[in-house]
Amino acid sequence: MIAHSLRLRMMGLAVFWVVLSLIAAGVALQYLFSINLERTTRVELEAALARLAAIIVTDTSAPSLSSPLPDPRYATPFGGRYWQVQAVDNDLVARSRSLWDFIIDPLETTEGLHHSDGPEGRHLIALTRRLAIENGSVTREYLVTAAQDHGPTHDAAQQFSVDLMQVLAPLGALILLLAWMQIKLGLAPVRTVENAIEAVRQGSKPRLEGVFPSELHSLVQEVNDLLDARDAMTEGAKARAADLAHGLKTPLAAVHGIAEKLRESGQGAEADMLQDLSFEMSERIDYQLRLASLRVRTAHASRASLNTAVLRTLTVLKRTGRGELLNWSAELADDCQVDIDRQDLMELVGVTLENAAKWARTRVVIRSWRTEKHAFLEICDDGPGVPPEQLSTLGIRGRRLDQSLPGSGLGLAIAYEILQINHGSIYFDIAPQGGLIVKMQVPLARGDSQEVS
Amino acid sequence: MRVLIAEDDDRIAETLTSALVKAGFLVERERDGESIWYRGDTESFDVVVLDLGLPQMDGLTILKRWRAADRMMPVLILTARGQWEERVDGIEAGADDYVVKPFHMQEIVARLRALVRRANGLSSSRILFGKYMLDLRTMEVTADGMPMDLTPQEFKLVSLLVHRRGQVLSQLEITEHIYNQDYERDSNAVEVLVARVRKRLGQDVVRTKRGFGYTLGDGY
Repeated sequence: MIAHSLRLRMMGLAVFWVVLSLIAAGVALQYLFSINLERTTRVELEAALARLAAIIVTDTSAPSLSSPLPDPRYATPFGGRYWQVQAVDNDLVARSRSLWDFIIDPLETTEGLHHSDGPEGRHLIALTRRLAIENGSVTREYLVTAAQDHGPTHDAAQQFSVDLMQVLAPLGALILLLAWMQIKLGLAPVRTVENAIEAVRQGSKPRLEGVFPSELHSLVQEVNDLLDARDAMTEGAKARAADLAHGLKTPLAAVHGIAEKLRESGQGAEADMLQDLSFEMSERIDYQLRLASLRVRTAHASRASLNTAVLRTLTVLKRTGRGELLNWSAELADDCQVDIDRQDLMELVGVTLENAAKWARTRVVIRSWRTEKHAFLEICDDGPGVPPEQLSTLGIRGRRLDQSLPGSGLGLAIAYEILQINHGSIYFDIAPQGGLIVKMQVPLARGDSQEVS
Repeated sequence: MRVLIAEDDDRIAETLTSALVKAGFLVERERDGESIWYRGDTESFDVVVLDLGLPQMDGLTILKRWRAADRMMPVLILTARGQWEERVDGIEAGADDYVVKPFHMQEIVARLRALVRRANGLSSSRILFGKYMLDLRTMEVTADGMPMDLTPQEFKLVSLLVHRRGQVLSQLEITEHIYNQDYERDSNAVEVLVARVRKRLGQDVVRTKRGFGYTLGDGY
């Protein structure tokens, strides 16, 4: 999962580096603290050694001090501070009362601090020096050791570790929280690209639009180039489909003409067959061409005037074919914008009105109204209508209920496809006079759906 | 009736020509957009069958140019493209009717006749003039219900005069609407034809307006 998420990937790295850094900082601080403690101990022990050197009595064979050290811990058994003087020439030893009967093993070769066992199994930290003291003509050498319990120092280091943990852990958590916020804020512009891509996917924008960080410009440009290429391919395919349709329909018209000649030469049955075939092929080509040209989209992106589409289509129908013989009545509500591409709406209104004109005897009535979210268009003809049990089969591709008029039954199928793509619906009913009622529900365009009248 | 077929496909043009000649139309045909526009702009046609996909200049542009120049002859658009947006564009550009390929020849003939009738203010394919009736569907002239035996040229002349009732038609106009361009025109051809029609239908059916031409007689 981390491999597929930039945020988790960056957060994982942040956790790794922060934990590593804090551990390193803890170790370094602990080391520095220990060094500092040792330095302090060394200073104290060197001071004690200097004092001891000044008060060693050299006149006797056994070493002794001319006066006690001022720190009472030297005189208290196991008091925590210790001294010991050992004459090198006779190995006689003088020691503080705090050592009781324990003799420190002086490490003669060690000039620095060293660790040693102490009385009652204690762990001592000690400093030993070899001193040569002149007494007249005689110079005597002593191994002088000052020591103290290592326990308090060790406890201080341990306590420091605990304190350090208590500081570094919240600090680490705070740093990780800030890192998370930084990643979130840093990746926020990626969200704008996501939104722009979503807008393209839903069809509300043709390309990625907006203000993007300079680091993402090349990516945005690449995506836009890709979208342009896709659009060009789609348009090219549509144009080729249109050319193909045109290229096929013209020869079909010629075939139709040949059929006319066959009819004239007395081959009426063959002529009928040829003409039926050419019409059927032509309508199937038209159907596929219309489907190919439908605007494929999934979101609210279009606006087209319903009344304009109806009135423009009526202008054509009233002047052409059967339409000019019919009485057209349009009872249209105030105009509204519907959420369908303008050309698709024209096709939808055109095929449904053409169907009404095809079947009507004398009259076609068109009504429109709207609700909060939808516009409705109802087309009612006074034709032969459809048996109730066959209403549900209307609009099924290629289904013809009446073979007496030419056509392939694809007109209502196209209407059905257009409405399905555009989140609309179509219903069929029987008119009181016996004709067919086609009722279509179309979503209102964004913005228009709020202007409820 | 003189019709211009503006169609680049020879097979369709031949079929159309054949059907329209049989229906009594005088057919002229052009293939390319420039020639079609020029002839429509400079000559008189009763109706035009206009294909949209033409070489050199598309049909819609030709139509818009004609209408802009006030050339108002009826135009029937013939196209392979059946989308409604294109149909509406065609009608709004000035077309009078729209037929999608392939088509029934009878339908084209009927629609062309209807266009010519409508352009001349006539509402029926059976037109009364005096005691005579001109039937555009059967291509017959009857007198009190009895068919008159007219030749195709005679029928065309009567039909032209009836459609242009009230207008004086010059010999040149009559020639253009009755004879093909490649017809070897005799300067007396129209006079001979008028004389033959007068002989069959009566002297006063065609009135001569000296120095101008011929018109349908008073009372017809």
